[in-house]
Amino acid sequence: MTALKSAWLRLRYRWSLQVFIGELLGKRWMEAIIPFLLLVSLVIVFANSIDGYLSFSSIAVTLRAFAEFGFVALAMALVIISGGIDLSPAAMFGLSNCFALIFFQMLQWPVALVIIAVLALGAFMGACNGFMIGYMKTRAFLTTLVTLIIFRSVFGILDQSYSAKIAYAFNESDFWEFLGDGEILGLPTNVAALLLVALIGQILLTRSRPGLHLTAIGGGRRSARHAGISIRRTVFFAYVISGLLSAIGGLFYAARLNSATSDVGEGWEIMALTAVVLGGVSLAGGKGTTGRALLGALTVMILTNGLLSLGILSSVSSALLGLILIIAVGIDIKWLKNLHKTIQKIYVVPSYLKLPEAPDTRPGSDNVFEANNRLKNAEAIGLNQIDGPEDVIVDRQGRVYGSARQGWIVRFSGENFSKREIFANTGGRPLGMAFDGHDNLIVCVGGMGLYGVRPDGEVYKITDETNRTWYKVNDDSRLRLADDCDIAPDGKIYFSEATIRYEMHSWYLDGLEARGNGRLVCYDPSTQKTRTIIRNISFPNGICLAHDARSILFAQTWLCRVMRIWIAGPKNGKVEPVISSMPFYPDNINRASDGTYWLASVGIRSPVFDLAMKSPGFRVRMYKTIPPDEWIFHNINIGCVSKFNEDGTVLETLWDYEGKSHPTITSMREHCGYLYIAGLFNNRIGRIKLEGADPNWIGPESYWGKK
Amino acid sequence: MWDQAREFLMELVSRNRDRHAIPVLDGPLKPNKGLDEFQVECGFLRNPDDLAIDSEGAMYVSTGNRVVKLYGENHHKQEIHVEFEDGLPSGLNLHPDGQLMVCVGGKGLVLIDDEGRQTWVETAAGKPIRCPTSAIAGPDGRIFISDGTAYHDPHNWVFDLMEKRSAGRLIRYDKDTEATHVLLSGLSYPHGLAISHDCKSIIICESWKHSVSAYPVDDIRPGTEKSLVPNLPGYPARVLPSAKGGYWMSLFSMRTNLIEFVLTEGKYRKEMMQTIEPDHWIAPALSSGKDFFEPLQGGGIKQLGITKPWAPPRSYGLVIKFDQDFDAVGSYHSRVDGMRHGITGIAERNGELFVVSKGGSLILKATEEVGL
Repeated sequence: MTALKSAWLRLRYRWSLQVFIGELLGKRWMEAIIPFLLLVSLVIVFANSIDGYLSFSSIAVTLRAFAEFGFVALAMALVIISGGIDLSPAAMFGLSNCFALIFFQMLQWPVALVIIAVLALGAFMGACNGFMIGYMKTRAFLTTLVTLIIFRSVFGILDQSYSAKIAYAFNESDFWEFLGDGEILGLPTNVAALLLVALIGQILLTRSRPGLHLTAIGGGRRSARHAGISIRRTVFFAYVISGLLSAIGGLFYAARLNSATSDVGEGWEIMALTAVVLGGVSLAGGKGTTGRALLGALTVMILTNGLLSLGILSSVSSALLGLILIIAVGIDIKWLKNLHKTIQKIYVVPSYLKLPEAPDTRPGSDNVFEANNRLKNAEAIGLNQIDGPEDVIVDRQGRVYGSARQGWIVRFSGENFSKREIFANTGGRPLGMAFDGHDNLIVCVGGMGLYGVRPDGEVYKITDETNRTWYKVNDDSRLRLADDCDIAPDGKIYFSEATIRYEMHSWYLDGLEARGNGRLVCYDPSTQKTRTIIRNISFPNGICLAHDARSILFAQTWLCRVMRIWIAGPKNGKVEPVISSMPFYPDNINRASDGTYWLASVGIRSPVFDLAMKSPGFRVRMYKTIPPDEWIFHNINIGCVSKFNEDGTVLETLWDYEGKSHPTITSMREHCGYLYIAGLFNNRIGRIKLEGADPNWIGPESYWGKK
Repeated sequence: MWDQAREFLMELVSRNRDRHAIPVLDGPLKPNKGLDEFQVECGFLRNPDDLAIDSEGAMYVSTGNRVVKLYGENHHKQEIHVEFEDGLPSGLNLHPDGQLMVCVGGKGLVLIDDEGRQTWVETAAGKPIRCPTSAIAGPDGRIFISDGTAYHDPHNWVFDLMEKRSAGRLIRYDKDTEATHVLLSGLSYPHGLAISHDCKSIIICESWKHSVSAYPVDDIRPGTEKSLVPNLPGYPARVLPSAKGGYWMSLFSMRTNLIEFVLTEGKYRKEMMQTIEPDHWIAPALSSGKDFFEPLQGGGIKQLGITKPWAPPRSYGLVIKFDQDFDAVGSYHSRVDGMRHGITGIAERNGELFVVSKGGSLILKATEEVGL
């Protein structure tokens, strides 16, 4: 019964929709999910209530009208992303339309000249705004409100004196026709132009220096200034481009309708603002894309057109639009602001983990696991001179290397290891290390990937990505937490990545979750390709090439077991257990001189934690209600080193069970009859003399032979 | 009625509000190394629980199954005052008429006079006094006894906490008539008793409610209480009026967010109690660090060989000084990196303060420099 129940619980917590949703919400494009859903539902509603709504001609008409509005929305979005606001695009749009018609119809200028003149006019109008706001430091809202009124009045005056003349004048040009009614690849010209502009705009915004400056200013004006960005110039150009985009819209409108009535672009200020905010361009600035602005514009366009077709009064529909603006602003604040909190709340999804019974380790338990104090009096190397060596390695010359928290590889040499030097600075969190055949030190760097250090201390990248899993929402091609590595005789580097869902600084969240989040990866120097060989395994940690080089041993920390994957011979590719249950949490594995293996254990299992691992709900609530310092942890204040053979039999264990000098043990290395001990949180590397060990055995020689 | 309605409304309006959030150790409760600097008065008794000092300065200490008398200069001489075969003594106090009052777990209260004659008080209202924790003489000579719980003996207090019991009683015993009278029941582990300086009220510490309240001595019944300290950062043990004014209080362990959380997790807690030894529970303790199966909390991870003193405590040493109105004015601590934990007993003589660290198996004396 209990077995059945536990099997059910394991299944129940094995796959989780929440993991998927949590990762999905973390995607940047999910910020636009609400406007997108709104758009889709609007289309569905109107398609059901209006006949022929989805017919080809109806769509084409809507699209053509949408394109011009789209330019205005883009102009608005650009300025809002830069942290300002521009109320005048609609007026500039109207004025550009008017001037385009004057130039083309009345003055009968050639189309190319008309285009240049109108664009120059738009840029000029934008420059007026930009100059006032960027250089004179006037308030964007008031300034553009004033220019809006001025542009409108100019428009009104022009309209009075010229509209009749424009209406009677007549000029024809194929290109003008093409601008107004033509098609490119089946799309109306103006729509194609809009998409092109939006695409280029987006690339400029996210990939070019001025674009990034613009976003930076919107995100934080003062920080941008401190970073040396010229705020005045960038803001100025933001308004110039806003004017340009409005002018382009006006030009297309003129070419399409050839009409200069005074209501052109009227009320578009609010519509454009609604569109932009609805699309998810944050009013606070610094956040938004051209795509989202267009998404919002399309939604607003469809809504107003739809309401019009339903015969709803225009005053009612403007009121509705205002309401939507308010809601959109609310969403802007609530959704975008709280999204990351939501993600934080649902990202960690603990699973059910029932660890097998394990032998007693307490003093007096009288078995091989019995705790002892053999490590308590270990000789200390570099006491208080190294911060958290996760791994330790000894080279052919007997120099000791530790991978320290600051990103350094610290080397101790000389008499009593008193000479300390920073051998290399990796820039990440160096973890497991191994020497290759050319005495390069291969290092797994948490947060970066797999790196190498040449004997002269030069750091070089080996790989920082592997093949992506197509069905994972999170991009798992980057290496987040490469943990330990070892090298096969053919030069292939096998390394473990402990988890792909968490960063180095939050490894314990992976322990809390206890899901199969890790993987084994192999880098092949002959092809320079990196490939994942096992995925979805729980926290693979230490890696060691077996003495016969036909298999790789790896430790799975949260599962308290050691596994083996064959890389040669008849069982090539097969995974099988070596030690299936241990009373402690295994970490790094390394070769011993007598053909067996050393295994570091980072901590021991405690009964209440084992119980918590069987209670996913308990862990969820703990994670949500109390601070991390109060969480129950694996007991990593006491660790040990054990020795096991090929069959998985544990031969002996060495402890510091009071945790005096080696509380957390993450690695150990044998060298010339001594065992060197390292710990993730420790302030030293320890060394003890091994009785009966080969006094001439050197790790790198066991891999690569004498030199 | 109105209070209940308001309570209900508040519950609706802010569901997550915690009226009993653990207070921050700040102000007068700011952590220090006070207890670690106390003098060791006696270090050879195992897990002493309480002490009482008679008029000649002799010290009675309850330890194991006996009460030991320490006397002479610096209390260096010792003799076994009384030994019990089937019960562990805990709370001690002296009656003004010279009798020693000893609370014996599982049995009741025993009064011992100068010749060693014992008078037992074993039941109240027909039920055994199973968990006597403190006894104190009232102004009129009648004795008040706190019975911690009906379910466990005093040394099994952790079960009572983790079962979330409220089955304690306050009992009055009249020596002349030998009658017992249950004054209050349903208390959450009453642990310490004291008579206020004006002799008008009796002060009761309830451990599981982490609170102190006072009842008028001549009218003790539910409803007459006045809350003195509603929310302590730890579990109070005993309380003592100080000759210099104000009160001393010993707290035998601290509350932590994890323990409070586990107390709300019924299923987990039950399974933990069924399958795991009590020493390894997520629960407060009198001492810690002896066994590596004890739970480890995030803040307790050793960094660079150092246990942070501000890590969430499994055991802790704390003595608080309160003024007349039960506002804290100062405190002595032994933090996570110290050993003088589990302060249960407290006594004063000639202006000197003695405390019993049950977890650290020590009797300590406040030195001049640290005296409050």
